[in-house]
Amino acid sequence: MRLFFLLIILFGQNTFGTEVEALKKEEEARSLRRQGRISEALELEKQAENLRIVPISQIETPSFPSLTKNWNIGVALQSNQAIDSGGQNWFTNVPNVWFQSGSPYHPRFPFAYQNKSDLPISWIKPEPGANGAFVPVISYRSQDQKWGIRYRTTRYQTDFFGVTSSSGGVVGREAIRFGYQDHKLHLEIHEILSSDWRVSWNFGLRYAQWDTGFNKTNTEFNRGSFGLETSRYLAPQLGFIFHYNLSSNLSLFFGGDLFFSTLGQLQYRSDLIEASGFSRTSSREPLALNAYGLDIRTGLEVPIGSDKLFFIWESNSTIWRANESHYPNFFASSEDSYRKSISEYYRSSAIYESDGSKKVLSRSFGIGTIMLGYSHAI
Amino acid sequence: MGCYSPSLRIYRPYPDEVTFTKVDFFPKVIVLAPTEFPEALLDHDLRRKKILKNEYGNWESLVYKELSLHPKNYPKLLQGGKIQILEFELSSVDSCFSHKASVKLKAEYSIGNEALRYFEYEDQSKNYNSNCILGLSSLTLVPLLWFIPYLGFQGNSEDQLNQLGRNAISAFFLELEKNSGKSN
Repeated sequence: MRLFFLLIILFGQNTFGTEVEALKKEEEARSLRRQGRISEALELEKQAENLRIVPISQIETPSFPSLTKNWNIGVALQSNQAIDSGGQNWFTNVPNVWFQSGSPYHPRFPFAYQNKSDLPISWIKPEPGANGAFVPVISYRSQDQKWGIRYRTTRYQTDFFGVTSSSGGVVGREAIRFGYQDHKLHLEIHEILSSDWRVSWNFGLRYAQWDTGFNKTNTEFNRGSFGLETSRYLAPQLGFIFHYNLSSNLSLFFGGDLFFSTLGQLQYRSDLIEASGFSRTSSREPLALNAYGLDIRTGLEVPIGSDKLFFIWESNSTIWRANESHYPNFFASSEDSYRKSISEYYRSSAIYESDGSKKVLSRSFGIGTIMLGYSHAI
Repeated sequence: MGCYSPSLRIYRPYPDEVTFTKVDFFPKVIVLAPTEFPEALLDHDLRRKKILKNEYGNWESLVYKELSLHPKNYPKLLQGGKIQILEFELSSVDSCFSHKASVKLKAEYSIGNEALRYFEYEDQSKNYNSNCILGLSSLTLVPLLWFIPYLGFQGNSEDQLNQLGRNAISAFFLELEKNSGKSN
């Protein structure tokens, strides 16, 4: 609406001015008529008429057609690809860190908060597997199409496999499973900019959760470790989408959402089994987590009657950081494994990263999603 | 605040409005109103009354324009009539956590030699579009970003007054049409 007014102010000043002028002249003419000064009144009326040569009603004000079917329900197939970064790769970047720790260990896997140290150091970089998910598509539009509600979700899950080897012989394997899902529910406000362009604002809530589970075994040290981390946040979200109608049955759109949250949590747990015993390190209470990020979305829609086909490319990036000032709970079956779990925590956790400098880098991950879907209006 | 000067844009919204260049003069239709047009506005915080100017003209202009544009809707009124606006008040009251815009229209009219008829219309809109909430939400960015779409959706107090005024005028003209023998 505001943009529309701005356009009118920029380009429509004359038209508005003339109507106000014409009205003034007509009011004056009427009072003259009442005084009996007909000829002067006629002249003013003529002037008013001339002012309205571009009549107001010729300005096209596009409007939404009213809807008979308000709900749009469908399904989409998502296929995603993820990238990740963040944290410090101490092994390669900060030599004194691994010197202090007494033993080198694997570079951190950035999705996970904790990493168990694992010898030897040879490492075959894990590759994510193929993945795909069916997700629901639900939206509602008011009768006059001026506002609506929309639910969106992105789901991503992948497995990474890696092997560690010592002088050519494979001695360890590890599997990491990363799963992410967010739920976005927002209110949309639709505005028509011109006959081809329309924009919709949206504001709402976003809940996201990602889990990282890892499972490592090492035959050389007769050791197995398992871990699970769960991060989640609730964030307010604001965004917009521009739509462009190419033809009556093809429209393009692009837009994005922005979110920021301090209402995040991270919980972790990791178990270590060795000959000396069993030990468990777990978060005493959920760590506070800050998250912010950006979604960018572009695609096209093909409406066919009350059915609609759509293709969306979406990129979702999240930057997060956990407050690591809390020590975890340690549980161990023997004195030796208790000592080991503490040193393991110290060496492998992010606390080591902030040691001395009190500076913790944010982690980030990005998920690119291609979505092909169908929806039906009811 | 200081330089805030509301202006009203009140007219009768009519579906598929026809093009016009001239508003005719109807000496037989007398329109009387206590003040020029939009009588008063209870100002935002001071609750002070103001007389506002309508950019679409005073009551007489509105009625004459309507009669010139849609003469078929008012066959009886065109023979002669009198419209007396008794009260037309638009108000916008801004309390800290809510905002209330309201309209009150009272009018008497007679069509031809028929008896005097009375028309009354009242409406109001309550929402959270208040200066206080805007001020509070501008302290940090996120609530402000949330508030702006809501504000855009509700419209500012002027938009609300304009909408209520248009609704009132539409209701009044519909009543006039009904009693002036509009043939469908």
